[in-house]
Amino acid sequence: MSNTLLTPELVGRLGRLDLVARLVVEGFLTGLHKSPYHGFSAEFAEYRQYIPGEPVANMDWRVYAKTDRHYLKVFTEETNLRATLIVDCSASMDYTSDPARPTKKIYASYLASALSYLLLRQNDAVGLVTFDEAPLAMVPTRSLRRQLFQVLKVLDNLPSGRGTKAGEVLHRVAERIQRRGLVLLLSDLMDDPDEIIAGLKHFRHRGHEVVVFQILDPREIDLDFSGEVEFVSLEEPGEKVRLEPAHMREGYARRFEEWRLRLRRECRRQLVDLVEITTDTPFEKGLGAYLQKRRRLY
Amino acid sequence: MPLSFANPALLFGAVASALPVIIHFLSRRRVRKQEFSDLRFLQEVQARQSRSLGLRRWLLLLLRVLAILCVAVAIAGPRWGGLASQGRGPRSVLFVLDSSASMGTQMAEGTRFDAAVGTCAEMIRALPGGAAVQVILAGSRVAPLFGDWIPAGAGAVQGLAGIQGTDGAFDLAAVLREASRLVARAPSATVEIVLLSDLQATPNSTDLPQAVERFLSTGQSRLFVRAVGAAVAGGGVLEIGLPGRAVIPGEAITLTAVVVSEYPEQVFVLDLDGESVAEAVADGTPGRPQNLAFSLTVPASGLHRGQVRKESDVFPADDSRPFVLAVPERIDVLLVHGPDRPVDPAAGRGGWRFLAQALAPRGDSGLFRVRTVDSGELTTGALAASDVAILLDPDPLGRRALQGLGDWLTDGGRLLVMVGEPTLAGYFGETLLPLLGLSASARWVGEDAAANPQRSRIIDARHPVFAGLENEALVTFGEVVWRRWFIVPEDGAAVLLSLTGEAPLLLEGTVGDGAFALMTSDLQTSNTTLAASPMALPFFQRLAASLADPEGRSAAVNGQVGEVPVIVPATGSTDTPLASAEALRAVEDRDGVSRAATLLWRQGRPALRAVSPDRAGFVTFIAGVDTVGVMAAAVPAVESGLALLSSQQWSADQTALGLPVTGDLSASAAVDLLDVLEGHDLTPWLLALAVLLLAVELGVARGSRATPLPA
Repeated sequence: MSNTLLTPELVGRLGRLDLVARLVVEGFLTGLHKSPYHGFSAEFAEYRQYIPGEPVANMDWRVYAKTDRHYLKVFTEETNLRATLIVDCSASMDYTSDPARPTKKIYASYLASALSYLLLRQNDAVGLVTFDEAPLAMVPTRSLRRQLFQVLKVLDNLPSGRGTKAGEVLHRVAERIQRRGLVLLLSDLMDDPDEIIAGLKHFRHRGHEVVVFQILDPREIDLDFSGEVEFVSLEEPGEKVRLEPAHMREGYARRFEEWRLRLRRECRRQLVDLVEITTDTPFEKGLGAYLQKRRRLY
Repeated sequence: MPLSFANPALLFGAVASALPVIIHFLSRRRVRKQEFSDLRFLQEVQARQSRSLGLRRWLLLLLRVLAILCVAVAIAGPRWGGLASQGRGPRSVLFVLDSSASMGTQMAEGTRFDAAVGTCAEMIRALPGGAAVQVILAGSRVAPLFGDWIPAGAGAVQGLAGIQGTDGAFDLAAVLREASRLVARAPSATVEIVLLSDLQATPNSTDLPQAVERFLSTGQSRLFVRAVGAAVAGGGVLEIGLPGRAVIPGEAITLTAVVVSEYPEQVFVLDLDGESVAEAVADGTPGRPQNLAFSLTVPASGLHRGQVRKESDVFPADDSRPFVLAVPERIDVLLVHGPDRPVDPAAGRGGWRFLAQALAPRGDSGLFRVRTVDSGELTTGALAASDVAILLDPDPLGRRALQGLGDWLTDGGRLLVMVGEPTLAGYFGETLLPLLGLSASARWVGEDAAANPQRSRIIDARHPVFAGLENEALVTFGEVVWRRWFIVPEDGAAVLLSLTGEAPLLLEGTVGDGAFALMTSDLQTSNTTLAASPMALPFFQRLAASLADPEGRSAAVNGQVGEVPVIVPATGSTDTPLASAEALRAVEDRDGVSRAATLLWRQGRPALRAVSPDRAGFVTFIAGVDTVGVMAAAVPAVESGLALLSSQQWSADQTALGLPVTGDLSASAAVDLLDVLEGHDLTPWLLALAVLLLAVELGVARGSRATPLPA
């Protein structure tokens, strides 16, 4: 794996989401020992020469009999996966503690772009829903080539949202997705945990597989601020808290961890994959988590 | 103000204590605004911890401010409780050691004076280098111990060794005068005066205000007092009352003594010439002065040493009180009378024969040797040879005799004038009264008064003429009838007897160095019944003896320690020995030291003066090998152990007199004079407090320290 190419800071300099998506995905795939998407469908695509050491499950014995050479059958992928990306655009997602690092929303857009590219490359169908207090934009789930363009167009223009009502939005989106599939939620989950869990339950109830990417800024976790700070809420601009983070860090960390533990516990209970990533985390973690899920499913 | 500073200017350093406050508020202004995704966790944590954190921060601020303040104040050299905290620098300390008799009171270890000397030595040792000291010994004499101010140290302490107390009285006025002189010569501008005394209550001398005024005008000095020795129950003999007249050998007399008993029914003894001759029981309230009377028979002529004593107690100086009872050998009386007339009875004109008989009933063997002379034959030589002259109804004297009589009287003669003859009214009023310094006015009260006789009334019963007489004797004397008399102006003369009609009957006064008595009647039976009264003899003998020896006319002096003894030698001993000054000396019986006596001349009579004694006892004046006088030096009555003042009361008394007492060192157990004067040095305490505050600050700061970031 080439981590240096996949750091959010470097990727962010590319600017164009299509390039970001391609670079991330190709880089990610190049680093894998084995192509994860071969063999996911049943339609024959071509032959290629067998390399000693490879599994012989797809060896075309007929060709071997005729030519006395070893060829493997390569199958063209055939999708049966419908993935819906749900991206949180609430105001809290606009937060970054370091201007050099992408905001949580941008990080989410990069990750969503990469996931879309990866999905579409595997001929999976991809849809997109953005939301803050309510659904903002929706790209229907399709597997067309141009679908990537549609998705990236929305991700490239994510609005600055307001507050978060993730629970309500998840319920509404769950009602609108008719066919079972994979739901990829990209959010900081800064909302009432009960509401969020209820929304995720709704997806599970309708037979969806759910992967939640909880995207957080590193400072939200460690509260690494010095001096006296007046914190202003991004979601409620009039709301302020004045304190010395250094003296509150322990209590904050305890409360924050309690919250995350609860999310983990509930997600585990609902068989929802919770991927906790921070905006300084390489994208492989997100993509890897998706592929693992994909592999378990198909 | 009990708090003072060695370097007050450095207190400006306390401004530094504002630094934490400034930093605190400056840091509060640098609040950084930070957008944040979600405040819910911050709000929860803030609600829990902000209050305690805020309190802790203020506590930290307070601790830091206090710590810096402590250091800043410590640098300024704070001292607490100094009695003379201003004006540090080289010090001059003048110690006044009370060496009076009461300081001889025995304590558990040594006397009060020993304790005072010990305390003085410790104070001197505790003085810093560069300080100068001087010591005044204040007892019977007030004098500096050292010739000049000397550096504090071993030398000064050594100088205290061996000094002795006295039996004299503490004289604050004398101390202030001496202190003024020494303060003016002190090496520093400010002088600390430390009085170490038992603070015996003493009446203020009349010149104390002047002494205080002079003291206050001399330099800048501060007076401190330190009481030495606890008050103990005193008691002793405060005063002895001797007859104020010449006593006659064999005469029964009464000596009085003012004593203070220590317990009820305490017996006091009177010793005379080494033998106990009388006792008296003090049945008054213990601890309070009371009068005791000792009855004794006058011994033979001479100087008799006596004492009134009690059993020993803790105040040795006052256990006994010495006195000298002088019994004169003979009083020469010159009786000058007028010539007898046919009408005069056997007693002679004016009753002069009766008077002569009354003074010398046994001829010349008694106290009086009486020579009679007609007024026309009076000579100055006869006057000079007499101790007392009596003019009884004399005919007018010649000019020369009158002049000689006046001179003799002015030079110290003793004269009794008795006139009761109406024919002498003019001479009496115009000549004799002016001779006595009285107005020339004598009015005869004759026949009218005879029809309404009057009795006499004693005006001053304490006068030696009447003192000690039994009440019955006084009543008997009051029964004497007076029928005719002269009325004369008093003109400042003391009236000893008056008639019931207020007319003066017996007057007493002085002319120059002489003294006179004037009786406005004579002893004729037509004038009075005095000649027939049993009180006639004692009355005239007492009157003549009182005139002859009112004070200082004998070779005995009853004085006290500190007084300069001057005696007039007995007449019979003034012949040869006094001519040789080298042979004159005074010996104190206490230590046997013999000192030279000085020969003086007073009114033509020789007198001897010696150095005032420091100790109670007897001083014997010797001329050649003869004893010519004795002085009994008693402890001053004020030096009894009766009235020890507290240091507060003493200070208040002096302050009321205008003599401010800066401080009382009595309450201080420490003898570190510098510590007492300048107060306790708070610097180490403040520095320790600063360290403690910083330690607490570190502890509090550790409790509120920022949580470190997870690795």
